Amino acid sequence: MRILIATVKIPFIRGGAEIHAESLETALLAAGHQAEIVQVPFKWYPPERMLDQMLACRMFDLTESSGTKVDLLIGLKFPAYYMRHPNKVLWILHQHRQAYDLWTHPLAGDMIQYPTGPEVRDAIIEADRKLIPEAKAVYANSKNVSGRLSRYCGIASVPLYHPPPSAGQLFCGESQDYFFFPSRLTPLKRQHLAVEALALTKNPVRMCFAGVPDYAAYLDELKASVARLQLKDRVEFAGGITDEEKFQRYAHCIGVIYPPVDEDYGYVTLEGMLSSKPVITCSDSGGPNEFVDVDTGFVVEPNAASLAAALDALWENRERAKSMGALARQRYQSMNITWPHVVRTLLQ
Amino acid sequence: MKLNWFSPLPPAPTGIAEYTGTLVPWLCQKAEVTLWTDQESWDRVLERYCEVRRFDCRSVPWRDVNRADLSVFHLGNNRDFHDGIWQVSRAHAGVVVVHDLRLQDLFWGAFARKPAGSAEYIRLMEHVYGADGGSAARRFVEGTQSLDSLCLSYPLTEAVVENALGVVVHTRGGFDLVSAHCQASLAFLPFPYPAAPDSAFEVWSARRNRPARPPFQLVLLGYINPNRRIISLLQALGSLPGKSDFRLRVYGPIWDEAHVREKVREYGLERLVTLNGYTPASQLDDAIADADLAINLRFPTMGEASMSQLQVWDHALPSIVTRTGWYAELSDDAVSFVEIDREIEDLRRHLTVFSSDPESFARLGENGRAALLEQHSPAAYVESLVGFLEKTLAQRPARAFTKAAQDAAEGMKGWVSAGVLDRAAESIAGSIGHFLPGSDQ
Repeated sequence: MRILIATVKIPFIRGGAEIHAESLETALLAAGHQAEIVQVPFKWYPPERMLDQMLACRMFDLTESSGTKVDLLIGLKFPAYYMRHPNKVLWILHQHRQAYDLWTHPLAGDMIQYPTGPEVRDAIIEADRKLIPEAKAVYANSKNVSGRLSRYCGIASVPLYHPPPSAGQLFCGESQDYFFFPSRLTPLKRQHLAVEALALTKNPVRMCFAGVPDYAAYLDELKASVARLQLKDRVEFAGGITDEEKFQRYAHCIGVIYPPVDEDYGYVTLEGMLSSKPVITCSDSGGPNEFVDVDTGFVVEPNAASLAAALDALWENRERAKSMGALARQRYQSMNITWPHVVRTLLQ
Repeated sequence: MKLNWFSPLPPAPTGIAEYTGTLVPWLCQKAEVTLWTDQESWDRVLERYCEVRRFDCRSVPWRDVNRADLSVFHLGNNRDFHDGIWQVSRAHAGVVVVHDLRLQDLFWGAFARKPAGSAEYIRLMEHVYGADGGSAARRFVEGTQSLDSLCLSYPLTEAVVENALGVVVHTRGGFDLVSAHCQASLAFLPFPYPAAPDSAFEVWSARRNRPARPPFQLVLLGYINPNRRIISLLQALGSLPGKSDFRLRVYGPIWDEAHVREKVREYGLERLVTLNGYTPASQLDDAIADADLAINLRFPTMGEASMSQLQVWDHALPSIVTRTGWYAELSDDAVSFVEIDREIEDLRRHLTVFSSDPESFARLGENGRAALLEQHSPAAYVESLVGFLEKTLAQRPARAFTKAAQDAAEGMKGWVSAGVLDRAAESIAGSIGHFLPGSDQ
């Protein structure tokens, strides 16, 4: 089949969504199909710019290319998933959450701060409700994303998990004295909460943050908190690290801490499990809750004291951490989270 | 439904503040309301019904504003009360309630106090009316044309409804004027006025002579500008053979009291006319209750509904009005009309008939009160308004896409031919079709 993957691209930004699209393309090619990614530039401010991009997506003709039919279009992201095609399947990474659950969010709710916010929000909701169901099948990146589609738009979808990009390269090593928090530094990932938790631990718990900031001010705030709470000796900001270094950090940590706000899916959880590490997350963290339980980690209330207690528990009992990590890897392997399964499902 | 209500608030000296003060108790039964004002103070009684917040149009707290479902903007012709509200409404689409149909005073007043205000005013007139509007604005700025004369051809109503999702007007004339150049949904709702309870009405009725007996008490209420036609009234009264049968009492500030007093002397009416100046609302009802006939003329009119006419009707007091603007829409079994081109002649005729058969006029007052009760109840107004707001809200997504498509077409104007633009517009329209409510495309 000739298959196009429709997604968006924020110029000069590369993150999980880009890797996701590339991984899908690789999987489709590996299954013997012709596949390519079609990316639409995306800018979300001021909000009315999104209306232009939504309209633009509706106007592309992707039914054929150079006289040859395109057999299937797989839509991944807003607003690229509005592109028209007679044989369209959606595998939604997430909707534009600032129009939905993040509308009033104190950290992430940016659209609400614009005078045109309400009408663009309504337009996005209306378009999602009308245009998503025109696909022949609707899959979601996770149960969490599927739940939002149902809750806000009344659209049924099937959760379809996929492996993280480096699934085959993650391994488990001897644990050292630190927890690992790999992620973009941004308020929605709540690195600030992890810093506050460190200040409340009974033990001299250490933590390594890896990742670049979405905006420099947040990193400055984090560093200021670390200084104020006298945690300089216990916190490392590793910045952007190579994949190889990331695998090592996963392999040798006591456990992974990942307390984002209502995450869609969250590779970090899966990477931690594949590295045979327990994961500490929060009850409002969304995607991670689909994988973590009392056998494989901690799901705690989203506050510093609860996170601190979980960190102390694993710091004090390394054997427990090790056995939880082993169970986490077993759990992952039992869930059929593979690219061949994804490809078979999307093409069926 | 959560509403933002941007309006002048009592005790601001404007009928629109009074309107909002009247409406709030009814409105808050149907919606969760936040009143927004740029006044420094307001009647604290309002806070018994809803939250009151101050805004500065230069730094609007959008996060708070946007928590409501919809914003309602009240716009009238006075820059002191409406400039800030207009600034917010042009950035944030909501429903605009147009209280005055001719808004040159608002815009020139607002621009005049800015450093490059004249140029901005000319740009606005050009934007709304093209080259003709720009030329007219330049003539005004250069002092060769008056603002009043611009009002009829260039009312600038378009500028206040340009970014509106919906528009509410209080007159049929306003409906026609706005519908001619506005894509937003539009509603005509008769101006609300809370009629007095029967008990108060009975007290007023008991004070009035039936049938009326000489000397007949004529009453003129409100802010007396030249368009209230007091000079014509004095001239008509002065030339009436039976003028000694009448007394005229004027309640309200006068734009040029010395000039009016001179005319009173000129027409020999010193013993028949009393100018009372500003009169508190509490005393005004007594004054109306003691009257036999109200004179409520307007020319020229800016087209708006008249609170004082509704107050006169509340007392079932007969009245004489000019057949123009909102007044022309009134039923002739509820008022007596004066034609613009024979004003004095008609006034003399009506006053003569009144003196010989006052009971024939009393019927007009009774019908006026019936019309007030039937068409102007605040409860019915709020019911209709909230229904309109809900309908407008449902159309907001379609409006957003339509505007995006218009902007796209506008952006292509400079570099494609009309034919190409038409085809592009067709393509964009096809895309929009998928977003419009009820569309199966």
